[in-house]
Amino acid sequence: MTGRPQKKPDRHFEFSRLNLWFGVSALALLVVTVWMVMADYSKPWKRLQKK
Amino acid sequence: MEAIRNLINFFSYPQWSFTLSLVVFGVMLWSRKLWTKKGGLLMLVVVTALFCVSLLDPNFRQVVAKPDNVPIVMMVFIVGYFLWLSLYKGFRNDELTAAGEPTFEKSEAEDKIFTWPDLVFSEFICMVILTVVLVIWSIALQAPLEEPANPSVAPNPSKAPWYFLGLQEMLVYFDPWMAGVVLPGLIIVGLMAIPYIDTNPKGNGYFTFRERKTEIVLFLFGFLVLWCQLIVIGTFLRGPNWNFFGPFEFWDITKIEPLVNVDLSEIIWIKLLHVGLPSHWFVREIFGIVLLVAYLFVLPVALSKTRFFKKYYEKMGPARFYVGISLFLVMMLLPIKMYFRWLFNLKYFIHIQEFFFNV
Repeated sequence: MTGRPQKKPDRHFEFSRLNLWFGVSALALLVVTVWMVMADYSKPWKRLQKK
Repeated sequence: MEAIRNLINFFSYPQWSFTLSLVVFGVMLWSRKLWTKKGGLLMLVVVTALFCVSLLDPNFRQVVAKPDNVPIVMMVFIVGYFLWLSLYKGFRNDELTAAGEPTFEKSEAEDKIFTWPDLVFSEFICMVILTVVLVIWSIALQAPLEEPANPSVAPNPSKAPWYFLGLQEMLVYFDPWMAGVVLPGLIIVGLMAIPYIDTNPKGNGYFTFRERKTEIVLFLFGFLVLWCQLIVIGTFLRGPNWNFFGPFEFWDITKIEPLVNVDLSEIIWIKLLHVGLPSHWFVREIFGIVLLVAYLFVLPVALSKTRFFKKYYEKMGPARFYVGISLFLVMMLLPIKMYFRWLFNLKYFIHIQEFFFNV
C-alpha cells in the first residue's frame, strides 16, 4: 500500500474520505433518531396520561 | 470580581455601550491585522473566553441559556464569523490586486468541477449533519412553551420574536408609528433601492474592501451597530418593564426608572424662553418642524456642496444622490435621537398629539 488514495484530477474532494464522512454522519443520524423516539416516549407525563 | 461585574454592567447601559461600539467598530475596520487568519482566531478565542467566564455568573447564565436566547448567542458568533470571512477575503483580494495578480474569485472561477457527485454529495452530507445537530438541539433544549394564554396576565417583559427586537428597541426612542411603520418601511425600501442608487460595478462577484470602503463601512454601520446591536440589547439586556439590565444584573421586577423625558418644545418654550407652551400646535412645535425640515431637505443640499459628498453628487447625479442621502439621513436619525435622549432626556423633536404626529 502507498498510503492514502490520491483524489482524481477532475474531482474537488477525495471520495474515500467523503464516504467516511457520509458513513459516520448516517450512523449518527440513526442514533439520534432512536434517541429522539425514546426521549419522546419516556416523557414523565406520558405515564400519568396512560393512567 | 464584583467590581469588574459592576463596571461591565455600568458600561453596558446603552449610552455607554453604543458609544463604545462606535469606537470599537471604527478601530476594528481600521486595523488590518484583525482580518487575517491569526487575527480571526485571536478574536474568536477572546470572545469565547469572555463568554465562558461570564457563564460563571448566575444572572448571565440564566439569560443566555434560556432556550429562546440560545440561537441569538449562536447568531452573534455566526455574524462575527461571516464579517471576518468577508473582510478577510476582501483584504486578501486587495493585496492580490495591488500586486497585479487576479483576485481569488477570478482564479477560482477557472477551476470547474461537476455538480454530481462533488457538490450534491457534499451537500447531502452537510444536510445529514445538520439534521443530527437539530435533533440533538431539540432533545437537549426543550421548546419554551408556557402555560395557556391568560388575557389578564401579560408576560413581563413582553418581547417580540428575536428578529423584531431591534424594532422593539427603537420603540424606546420613537413613536410607535415611526418605529413600527415608517422606519421599517424605509429600511425595506432603502435595501431595495441600493442596486439603483449604487451602480458602481466594483466589487461585483469578488470580495474587496479598498475599492468600496465608504459603502462597506456605511452598510456595516447600519447592519451591525444599528440592527444587530439593538437585537442583542433587546434580547439579553431588556428585562421586566423593558428596563435596562446589565449582563450580570439580576432582573429585578421592582426596579423603577423614573421617566423624565421632555419634548423639544418644552425645552425651548419653558426652560429657555420661560413662557408657557403656545396653545396652537403649529406655533408650539415650530422649532421642531423647522429643525426636521432643515435636516431632511436643506441638509442634503448643503452636504452636496461639501468636499466629501461632492464627488458622490457628481458621480451619481442629483436624483440618485438625493434619494441615497435622504435614506442615509433617516438612518442617522436613529443614533441622533438616541443621543438626544441620553444627553437631554428628549422625548420628541415634534410632538403633535392632536394628529398623533410624533418624531
